[in-house]
Amino acid sequence: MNAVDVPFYRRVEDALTKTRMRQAVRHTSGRAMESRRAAIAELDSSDAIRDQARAIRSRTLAALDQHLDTFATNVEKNGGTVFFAETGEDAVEYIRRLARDRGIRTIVKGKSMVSEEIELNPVLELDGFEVVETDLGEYIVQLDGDKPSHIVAPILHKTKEDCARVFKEKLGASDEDVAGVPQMTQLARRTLRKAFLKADMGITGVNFGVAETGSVTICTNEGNGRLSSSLPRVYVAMMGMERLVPTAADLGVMLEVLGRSGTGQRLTVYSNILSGPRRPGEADGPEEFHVVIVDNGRSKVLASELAEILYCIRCGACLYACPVYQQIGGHAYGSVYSGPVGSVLSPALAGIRAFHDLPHASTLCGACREVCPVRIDIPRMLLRLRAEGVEAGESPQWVSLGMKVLGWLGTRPRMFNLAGRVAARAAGLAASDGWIRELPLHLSGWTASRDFPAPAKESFQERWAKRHGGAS
Amino acid sequence: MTPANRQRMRDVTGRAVRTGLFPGGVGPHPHDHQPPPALAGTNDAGVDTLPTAAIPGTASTAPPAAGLPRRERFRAALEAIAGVVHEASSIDQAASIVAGLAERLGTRAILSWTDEAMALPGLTAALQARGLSIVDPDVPQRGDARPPRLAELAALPLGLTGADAGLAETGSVVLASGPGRSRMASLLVPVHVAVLRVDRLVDSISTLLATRGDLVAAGSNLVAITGPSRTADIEHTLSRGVHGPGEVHVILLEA
Repeated sequence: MNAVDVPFYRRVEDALTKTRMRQAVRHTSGRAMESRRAAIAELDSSDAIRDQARAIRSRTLAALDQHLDTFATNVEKNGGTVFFAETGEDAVEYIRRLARDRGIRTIVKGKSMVSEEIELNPVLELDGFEVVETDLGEYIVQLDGDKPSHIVAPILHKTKEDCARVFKEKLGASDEDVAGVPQMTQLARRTLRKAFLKADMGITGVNFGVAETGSVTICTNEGNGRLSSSLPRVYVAMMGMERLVPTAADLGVMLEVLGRSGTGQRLTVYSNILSGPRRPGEADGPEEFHVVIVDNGRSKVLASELAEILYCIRCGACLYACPVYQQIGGHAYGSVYSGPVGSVLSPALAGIRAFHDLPHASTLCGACREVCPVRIDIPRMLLRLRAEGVEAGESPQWVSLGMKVLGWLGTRPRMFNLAGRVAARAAGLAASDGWIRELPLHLSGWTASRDFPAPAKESFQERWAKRHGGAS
Repeated sequence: MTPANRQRMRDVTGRAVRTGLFPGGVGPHPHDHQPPPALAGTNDAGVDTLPTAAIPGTASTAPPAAGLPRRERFRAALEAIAGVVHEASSIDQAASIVAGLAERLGTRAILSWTDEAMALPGLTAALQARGLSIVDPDVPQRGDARPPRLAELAALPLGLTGADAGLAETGSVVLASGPGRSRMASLLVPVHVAVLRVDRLVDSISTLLATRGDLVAAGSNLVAITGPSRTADIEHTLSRGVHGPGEVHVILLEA
């Protein structure tokens, strides 16, 4: 996973000028939050199920080595094949070699954030395989050469007019074909059906693996996950190594919270559990069933104070809830994982140097923690990562210099008071009507879009001394 | 998995979990599963406390009404997400409902599970008696004959299946794959009808998985289908029948 070259604040400035995109994000986030709120209301009467879900995630990860081992044994017992990929490249190489060995021509893909993370598609396409994204949003992203901006709703940043334009340009669709959302949906169904019927390999992500049964679960509303895992003769599930639950009973609890939290549904339309290749006598299902368990930095996170971010079940609720995300959209984060969870996960996986700005893309208001179905303490980890950034020398020089000066002054009361008085005088000169319109140098960023209040004429210490008539 | 690859997975993960920090492990032990508290949208006085959802037909608008019999809750939940519920008191009556659907769709051929697979003896015969034919979903796994055969099946308007369980809270039907139980009958076709015996209704996905863990890996696939295929990817606007069936019917059979 690579960071983009443009600095974060430039990406934010850029995002803020995209009025149309921002309207789309706010409009859709608002609607999503509304339907979500209604579904969560059923749960809010009792937070017990969220505690239960959190306990499952905590206990699973604390013994992940054993659960992964059990999982691998049981996948093999079901007739499947398991590969543990330590890096993204290992995972890509495994799938690419498999596709070559089996003489694959067309690959249909269900939604998989891991495959975005390890940048699988470009490699497979370079090798000459036809790769088709089949989730409606991901399909539009692929047609448009764009990137997803939300982990559950990939085209949150696009209006329906944007989508209509893509279909017309890339598929030569007629005006009737794109007259409305239902028409565009049917157009996508017709087009993607052809790909499903000829595909010889299917690749999907995994919502939950189940250790005791050796199963993988994929939750989709459209049915593309079911088609991708049922029709092609070779099926590959790509699973982040943390995405396990120990038992079927645990899976039930997680499914209860995922649908409600992710999309405001009690259950996603297809909660699809796969246990190995087709059995003797079955009419459909793949001949080959592969699970690629992807580490790619996760074991490093697992060993750290940030392990809690791996509790995440990728419902996307914290994105909708985040005031920063609502303003800048997903692309400005410059990572596959955006929003509050992405601001922790991206630097945790790829290193603080690659994403040192992201932990600052938060007001620490705590809305993310509030909506999280497994109660991840995202603000705690954002602060931890900010500190890591400073320790890694990623804070601007003038900030660290300023902090040093403040530290020096702070331990010398006389100097501190003197400096305070000097600053107040100087600021007083720059102010009019009690407000400073423009600060100099690096501080000008503050006054670019708002005024700075002029300091009081007397400092607190001076007033205190006056009122009590004694020494300060 | 090669032994070396497995050992590597053990080592890497084992080392990591020894130093990681995993808050929140207190609470009910996940292995002593207790079904989650009732997820009722009504308060004790029976007053509906659910706010109105932004999108008509989303699951969240369903009035779940705890205390009602499961079949009533099932009906309310499925109808709220645009599914259709029928009732039948005999297999023959169920066959009539299926025949009615086929007639509306202008077809005589149905992609179907076998009689034995549905555990509904006589249903196939009753359908054939009404002039309907059951299509064998056999598809060659490889070769050039495969895509056209799949396309033929996908062109059929109606798929018929049984159901291993029904979920009252969500209006879901649960289907395990197996011999005579093709996934395609509930997936490729635009209209899916499932016959669900009322005594197979349970409360929710969590109660089902806590009590019938054996179902999970009984076949290569277990699926809970909750209403018609849908998407809200474009501007969070609901649209049905994306890849799976756009219409889902459930015949509740009082056996």
